[in-house]
Amino acid sequence: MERVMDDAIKGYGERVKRLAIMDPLFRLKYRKRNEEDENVDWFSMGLLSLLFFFECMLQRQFKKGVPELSDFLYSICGKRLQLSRSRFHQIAETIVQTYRDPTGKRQEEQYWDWETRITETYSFSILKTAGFDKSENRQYYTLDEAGIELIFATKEYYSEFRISINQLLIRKQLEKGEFVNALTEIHEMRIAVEVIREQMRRLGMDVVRNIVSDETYQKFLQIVKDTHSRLVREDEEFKELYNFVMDTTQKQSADLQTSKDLKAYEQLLQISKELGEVHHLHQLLLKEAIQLKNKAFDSAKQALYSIGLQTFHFDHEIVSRLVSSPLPPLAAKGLATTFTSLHRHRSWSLLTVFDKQRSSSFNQEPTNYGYPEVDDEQVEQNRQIQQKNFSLIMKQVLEIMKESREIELKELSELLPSHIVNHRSYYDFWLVLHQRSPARWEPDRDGDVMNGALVQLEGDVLVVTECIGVIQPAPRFAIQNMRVERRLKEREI
Amino acid sequence: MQAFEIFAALMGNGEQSGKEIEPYLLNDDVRSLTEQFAWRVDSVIVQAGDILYLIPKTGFSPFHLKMEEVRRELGVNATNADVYMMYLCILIFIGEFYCSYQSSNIQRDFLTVDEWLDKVGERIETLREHGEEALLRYEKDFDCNWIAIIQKWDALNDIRESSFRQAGRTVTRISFLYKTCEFMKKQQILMEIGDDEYTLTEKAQIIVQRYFMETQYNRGILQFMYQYDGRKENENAGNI
Repeated sequence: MERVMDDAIKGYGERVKRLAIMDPLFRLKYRKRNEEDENVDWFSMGLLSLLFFFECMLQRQFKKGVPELSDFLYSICGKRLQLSRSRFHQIAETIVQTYRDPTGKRQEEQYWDWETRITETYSFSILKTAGFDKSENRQYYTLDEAGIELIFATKEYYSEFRISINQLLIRKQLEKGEFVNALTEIHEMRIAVEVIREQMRRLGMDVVRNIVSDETYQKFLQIVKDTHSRLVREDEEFKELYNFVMDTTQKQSADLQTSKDLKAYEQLLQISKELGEVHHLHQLLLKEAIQLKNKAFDSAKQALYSIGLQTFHFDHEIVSRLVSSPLPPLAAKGLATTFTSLHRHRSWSLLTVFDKQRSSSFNQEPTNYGYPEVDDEQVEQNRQIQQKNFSLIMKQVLEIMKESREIELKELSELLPSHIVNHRSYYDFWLVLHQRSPARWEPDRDGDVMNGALVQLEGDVLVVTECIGVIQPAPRFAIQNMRVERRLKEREI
Repeated sequence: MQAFEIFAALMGNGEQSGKEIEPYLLNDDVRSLTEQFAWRVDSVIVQAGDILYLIPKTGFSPFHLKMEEVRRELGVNATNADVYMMYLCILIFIGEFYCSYQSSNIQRDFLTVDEWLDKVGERIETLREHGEEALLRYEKDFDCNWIAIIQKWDALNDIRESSFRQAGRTVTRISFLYKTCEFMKKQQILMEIGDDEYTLTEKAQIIVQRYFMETQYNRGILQFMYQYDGRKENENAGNI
């Protein structure tokens, strides 16, 4: 931020001075007018006067005073303004008085210099006296320093030779060793390049829109050609400058003894880097210019097929006629549709059924995928009930089996009382047994649901194997048929 | 087939550029076929540099944007009068940019809604000056007339909201213009370049400068406009 501030206000005073010298000219422009000089264009008169004195200086004619000025003004704008000669004399007098205060005071501009932080006063004069002829009582004038500067400020070379001037300045600054200023010049050059880019973009659009006849084509082609040749010229200058920078850098790198040298070398390196960037941007522009040329050429080719109007007053030809004739409102529709898109038929295809569909709405609460949590108390309770059930079932089963060593579930289910067969625990019983088969009672498994049941086996082993077929002892339940075998402890061993 | 592909893309977007339109630029058959397709839907293809635009021809055609669709844009209660008023506003908007015989380029950088409002108001006043009789001349033939539009405009009052900018749902002239803006944005006629500052898009400029200023099309447009004047003359000269 500090850098921005410093760079921005650098040379602030100089710039104010340059603006200040224009002040008398603008004072003429906003001069209070009375009736008789209503249509006198004071501003251009003032500028013309400056040019007159400048031209006189160029031709080394120094004996020029108010009468010569008034003659000059009369010959240029006398016809247009329809004013008398004596009136022009008055005008010339006023202008001279504006540029050179008759009381002898110099023009002054007071301003606060933001760079040095003090109030400064800049005094300047645009016209100065160039001799006095006592015998004829005539005073001669010529441009003073500020006047000449004002003339130069209005010279038009700036925009077109901007980059070239920047390049020259950089060169001079490098020769003098002012590296920091050279860097600023490069930045300014980059801005200039961006300005050209913007100009070319606009030109490209204009070309596309406007080339409707050979005449306009020629006009545009000329602009495009000028741009191109200018870019080519600048490109060459860039290359030269770049070489120069390289040379300077090499020279500088030869003696790097003091820290000052080192700093300068670093700055040079940065200059060459930034210069390279700007050059690259500039080269891109060159390429774009060629494209633009092609574009103009294409457009001209298209223009062969059509003849365009030179001008067209849309507001007048279309809008005014619409309301002043008046045309029916329907006509407005007809005219405006040109700017709209075509009617798009909206239809529904059967195939959209297979398109991606959003099946769930986002507002639903997220589904809970976790298992419902059961508190420990309930688990314990369930386990005890189950244990009791299982022992009951085992008791019944063993009663039915009695002495027989094995039995199928199919037979067993028919023999058991219906309240057992209809209960879910019965099926759980077999599932658990099948899983744990061969099952026997183990002493240290207190929490086991089968504990109470297996105790009744008195040390025997119960083997459960599945066999063919699914049985359905109760309407609600079906289970794979199983063979239950009770093996004696000794046989197992 | 290439011709149809290009045409279909143009139908979809209204403009097309880049690789897709190369066949159009290179192949004369494709070009003429595409142009015929466009002609059949009452449109023309305008080539501006490397962009193709499909521009509906001035006039009425079943292929152009339908009244109902525009009405839907304007809101539930919109009537035909609203739509016509919007069309008038659009034309005035464009007219504000092209208002010089000296140059064919746009004459201003942007237009603010306030200024637009004034201009529309002026035009409506001009219409009013014709008197009811003249305005009613077309009423028999058409489903809408200027009187309805003038009344509509008057009904949209802007006294209530002199200093506040309102883009909301309130029924005011300014909000109507904002709605029109939305429509124009959708149709790529205007861009917003600043707070309350609108300008024409490249597409709209191409349309004016390459379609309205093209001699051939221009004649068609003028004919379209004269046709109504002509009708009037015929009626007057009924005794021949």
